[in-house]
Formats: sequence, structure tokens, C-alpha cells
Amino acid sequence: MIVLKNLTKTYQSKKLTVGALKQVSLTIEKGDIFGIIGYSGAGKSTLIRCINLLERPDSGNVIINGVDLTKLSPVELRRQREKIGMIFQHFNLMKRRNVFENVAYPLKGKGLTKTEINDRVLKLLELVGIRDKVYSYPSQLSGGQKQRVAIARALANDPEVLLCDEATSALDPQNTKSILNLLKEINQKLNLTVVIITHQMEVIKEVCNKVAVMEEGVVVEEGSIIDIFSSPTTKISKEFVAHTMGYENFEKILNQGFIRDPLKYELTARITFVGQIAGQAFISKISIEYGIYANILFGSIESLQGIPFGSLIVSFTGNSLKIKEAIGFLEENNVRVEVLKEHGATKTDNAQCS
Amino acid sequence: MELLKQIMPNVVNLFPDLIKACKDTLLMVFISGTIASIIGIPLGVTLVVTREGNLLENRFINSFLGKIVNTFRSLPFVILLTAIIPITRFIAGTTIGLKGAVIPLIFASSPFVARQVESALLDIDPGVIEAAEAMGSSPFEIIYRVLLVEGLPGIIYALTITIVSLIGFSAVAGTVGGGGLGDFAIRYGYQYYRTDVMIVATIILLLIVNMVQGLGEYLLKKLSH
Repeated sequence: MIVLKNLTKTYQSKKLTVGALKQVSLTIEKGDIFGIIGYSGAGKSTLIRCINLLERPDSGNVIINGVDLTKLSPVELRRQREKIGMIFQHFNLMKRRNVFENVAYPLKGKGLTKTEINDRVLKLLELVGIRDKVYSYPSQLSGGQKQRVAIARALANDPEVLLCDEATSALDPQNTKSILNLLKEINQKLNLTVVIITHQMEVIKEVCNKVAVMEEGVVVEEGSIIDIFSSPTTKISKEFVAHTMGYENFEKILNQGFIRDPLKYELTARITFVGQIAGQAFISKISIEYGIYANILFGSIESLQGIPFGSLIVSFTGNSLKIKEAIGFLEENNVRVEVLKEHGATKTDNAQCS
Repeated sequence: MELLKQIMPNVVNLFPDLIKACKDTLLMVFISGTIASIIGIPLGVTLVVTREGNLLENRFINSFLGKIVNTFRSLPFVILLTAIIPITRFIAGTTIGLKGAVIPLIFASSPFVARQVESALLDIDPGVIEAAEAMGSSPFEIIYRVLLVEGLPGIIYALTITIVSLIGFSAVAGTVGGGGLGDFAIRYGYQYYRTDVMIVATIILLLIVNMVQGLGEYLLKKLSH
């Protein structure tokens, strides 16, 4: 378990003081794949580098399995670091060492015999799926292969935690996917806690079970991935979710106004289904039972942690009271409804009166 | 042989001296190069790791060593040669001949090696060093398992450049009686108007420089991946 307590870090240049982390606290449970998302400059990289103290916070504590790393001597800290693997955006492999030597690097000087190191390296390369590249040099490998070597190297000392600092940001979509699958696989196989820093919600969606959203050095929202996706509360989380679900441009279009009957009441809402209810025919049902028209403007379905997660944007027309009742019915059935826009006869009349 | 005598009579007459001069030059370069590497490489490493934000950041040591290196590097070699005569005499017991020349050569080339090594090591991706830190390597371990390994081609190249400039310096050292090819060219060639002696000495220096440079480049290519 990783506990970060009130981490603060400020960078000072001559004229500018930048608060990279402002009182950040997080708890990451064993076995989690914990995602930390934010735009560049949000402080997420600083945060992950504080976990193994590559970056020392100005104040606060980093407690891993009950050991407060900030209180350790350099020697003790180095011993702890062996139990915290880390991979990077640009892989950071040693160019003059081949794949075998790169993976063997952290195993040397630990009192292992040559055969033990040999066996261990080959086993790791087997695990990450590049056993055939043992004697290649990093320059002969693709980005995805390099990251696999980096993962093998990070796992060499049987770590309990794997830190991934934008590990897929330099990869193409296909390699990103395969690296993420590999992370998921080793998370399950080795019961490894994985912390992922990224600016891509797709990455979070693909592998994480929990997510923290960062903005300007502060964790603004945190929760299970389903929670964040189904009910994002902050503006930034909404942006990330909208981007991932593909409706980020929708509100712009909505506000431009499309052809509609100005005399009729119309309500546009985003309707979110999570889990099994995503399979039910709610829209037809309310349309028939409440006598209202439903125009589906947008729809998508995703799988989060293997749970279906559907999102619809629907424009209802008809009797405003009936529409409100229908929404009530949906909410009773654990369908989340978020009204995006409401306009029509009654409302306009009222506006004119006042 | 007759033909050689006709083209360059002085060279043939002075042949044993020429051979000795070659030997002296090589010996001077070899001894001073070796010692300069022994001093310069650790100095270069120190200059890198004590930099701001680096492994063993230490502003005092960094600026202190930096200033010493700069001082020796800014002095023209001829001036250095004469300026450190007391030191040379103290260490070598003499200021002439091979022994007398080696000391100033070491003084001139160690800071040169240090700066070259520094620049080679600064070329190493800081990410690689960070990865080693994250794996729990100590600063000392990072120096000899990462910096010196990853920086080896750069260091070899730095030494190549150093040796080439040492060959040049050694010719200058020759002017104050240090022996070697430079001394030979000036004393037996220039001062007696024996053009053939100067030309042959120059060609030999040219060959040595090219061989060293070629070898350095070959090693650089072989060691880089």
C-alpha cells in the first residue's frame, strides 16, 4: 500500500515560483492499477517521481508498506528503491548494453551467480514477450520492444510497485495497447501495484481500476474508474470523459442551435448506463409509456474494467411534465441523467412575462 | 639508397637521430597521455557529477575545479612551459630532455582531457542516469556502471583528440630542448636550412596524427550501438 501524505513541492526560478504539488494526499491499495491523469504541467510527473523520491518533496510523507521513505538514509532508500520498479516515456535503456545486459543491470552485485542471473533475465524476457531479442541492442528495437525491455528491467528485483511515467506516450496506438495489456497481465500475475501517469484518458480507461485527476498541483477528483466516468464532478474530469466517450464537440454543436420547432418544449440530456442496465430498452419504454418523442443525437458504449458503460445524448420533445416524469423514472432505475439544455414554449413565455 | 641520398642527403646522414626523435615523440606522448588520462578522466567525471542538479551536486568543488581547469587551458602552451619551470624542476629534477618535457605536457593536457571527458559524459541521456537511480544504484555505482560505460565511446574520442594535440604540443616542447620530432625538425632542419629534414619530420608527424585519429574513429564506431 502506498500512502502519500500532504506532499508539497515548489520549483523556484529567479522570477517565478511554481507550486508543482500542493498538499497532495493519495492512498493506493495493493494490487491497484492506479491512474493519475492531468494535462501537462499539472504536477503528475512530479508526483510519481516523489513516490520513489527521485524528486524530494519539500514537505509531506511517502509511506510504502508502512515505511516512510522520506525518513530513510540514502543507503536504506536505495534498498527500498529496488522494490519499486519504474518505467519511463523514453524507455531510458542503456545504449551500449544489449537487451540481456540491460535487464541484468539491476541484478548485478546482489550476490547472484551467473547462472542465476541468466535464468532470471531469460524468465523476465519470456514474461514480457521478447525472448528472441536477447542479444539485440536498444537501437535495433522498436519503441514497443524497448518498453518491454524496460518493463523486464523494472521487474528484475521482484518489486511490489511499478511506476509508469507516461510509459505509452511515445508509442503508437497499437503498441500502446499491447503495453497496457502487458501491464494488466503482470498486475494480475505478480499481484503488482501499478501507478500510471498519463495525459491520455484512453490509457486510464484501458487498464486502471482507480483514477485521480490532477490540475495545477492538486488532486481535484479521485475515485473508481466507473465513478469518474459515470459522474465526473469537476470541469477537467468532464473534459477527459467527454473526450474519451467522443462527445467533446457535442456541446458546441448543441449551443449553435439546430433546426427545431420554437413552439415546442425540448429537453436535451446525457443519459449514462452502467453495467447490466445498459442492455435494457429504456428509451423505447419511456417513449411509449410517457408518450414523448426521443431523438437520439449521440450514443457510444465502452467497456470499463469489463463493465459495459453506455452514454447517450437524447433530445426529448412533448409535454414537459411527462418528460420530467420520464426522467424521474430513469433515475429510479439507476440511470444517470444530466440535463444539458432545456428550451421551449413554457420557458420562453415565462421569460417574456418577467 | 643512392636515390634517397640524392633527394634528402641530410635525412640519410641524420637517420639514427631521426629514429631517436621518433621514439622520443612517441614516448613523450605515451607517458604524458597516460598520466593526463589518469588525472583528466576522474577530473572530468568530478566536473560532471558535481554540477548543479547532478548526482553529487557540490557547487564549491565544481567551481573550484572548473577554475583550475580554465586557468591551465587558457594559458598558451609555450607560456605554460616556461611558467611552470620551477614545478617541473621540482618534480622531474630537470627542465630539459624527455623528463623535462613530460611535466608541462601533463599540465597542459590533463585539463584538456577533463573538459573533453566532461563534454562526452554530458551527452549521456540524463534519463538513463535517472533510471539507474530509480533501480537503487548508488552514485558511485552509477559513475562506473553507467557514466563510464555509456560514455566510453565519447571518452575514447576525447582521448584521441588529446593525443593528437599532445603530438602538436610535444613539437613545441621540443623547442625548449624536450627532444622528439619537433626538436629534431627545428634544430637539425630549420636552423641549418635543411629543408628535407623539416619535410620528412613533418610527414612523420602527419602520419602519426592520422594513424591516431583513424584508430580513434575506428574504436568509436566499434563501441557505439
